[in-house]
Amino acid sequence: MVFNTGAALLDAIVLAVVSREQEGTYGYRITQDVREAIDISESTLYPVLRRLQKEECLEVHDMAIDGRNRRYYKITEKGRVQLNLYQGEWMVYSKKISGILEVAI
Amino acid sequence: MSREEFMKELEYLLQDIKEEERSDALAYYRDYLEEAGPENEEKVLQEFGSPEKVAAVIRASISGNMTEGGEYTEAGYGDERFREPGYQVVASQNPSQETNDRKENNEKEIRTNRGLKIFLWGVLILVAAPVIFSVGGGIFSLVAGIAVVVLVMFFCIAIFALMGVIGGIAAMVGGGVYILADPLNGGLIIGIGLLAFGVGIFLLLLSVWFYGKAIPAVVRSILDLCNRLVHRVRRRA
Repeated sequence: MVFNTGAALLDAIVLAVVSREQEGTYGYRITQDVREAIDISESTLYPVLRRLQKEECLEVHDMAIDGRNRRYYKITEKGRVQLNLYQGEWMVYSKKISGILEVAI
Repeated sequence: MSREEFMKELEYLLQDIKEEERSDALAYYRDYLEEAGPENEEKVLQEFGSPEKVAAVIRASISGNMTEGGEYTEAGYGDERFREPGYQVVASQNPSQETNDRKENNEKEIRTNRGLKIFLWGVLILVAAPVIFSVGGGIFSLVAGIAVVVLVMFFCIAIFALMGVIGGIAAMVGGGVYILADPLNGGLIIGIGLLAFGVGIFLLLLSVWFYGKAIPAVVRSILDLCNRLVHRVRRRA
């Protein structure tokens, strides 16, 4: 992709991806899901997930899978509020950009 | 690099961060590799980059440096600070800054040299003080003693001179009176008086020379010496 993704947009994408799973989801899957939309490297998300967790937009819980613990991320109420804000902002932003770009065609 | 090697290296690199942060980060990357499965392991490890880079990213996220500076480019997450190799968190200095730094270093070096010199002089003086003060003190008291002896001597000479002159005149006058009664003894006294007068005059001249010329000359030469010492010190500094 030629357009760079800022930290806020990545936060929005991660929150959206996590919010799709009622039971929560885990690091590897989040990364693969985000990669459907934007190209990020495998190691990108740890700092992002950690920060969202510190900001209480995500909560974590460990679940035993195949005899070992897997860390699940789940969106919190605060995270949902944040995600709503991002969605609203994105609608306005993308509409404006689309309006300008489509006129140019 | 195998998964085990990567995790071991990462654990080693993160050993000085908080226990909770370390175990969280290590668990995340271990989990991630586990979920990726053996078939993707190599690809994932390659994308992670070196353990050093991953450790630097983790450290930066802990110290709160991740909120700004990074961008998610078409080539994935890009951050100038974590570009391999040399992904150190500090931005690389530009050349002019480097030369400035070097210049400052040079100045500092000169300054330390001067400071060092003064410091060494101080140490030398402190260490040598007992010797300087005992030997110097000895020499000083010797010189002062000689000076006092000379002064006292010339003081006595001056007194003798006055006594000789006054006594000589008195003896001549007395002899002149006495000569009428006893010409022989009177003549002797006049002779002694003349002799004393002569010696007195001689000593007086000596005193005049000493107080008028020798002492000013000595004082002048001492002042001169001090002056020269100060000047030389100043020139050296």
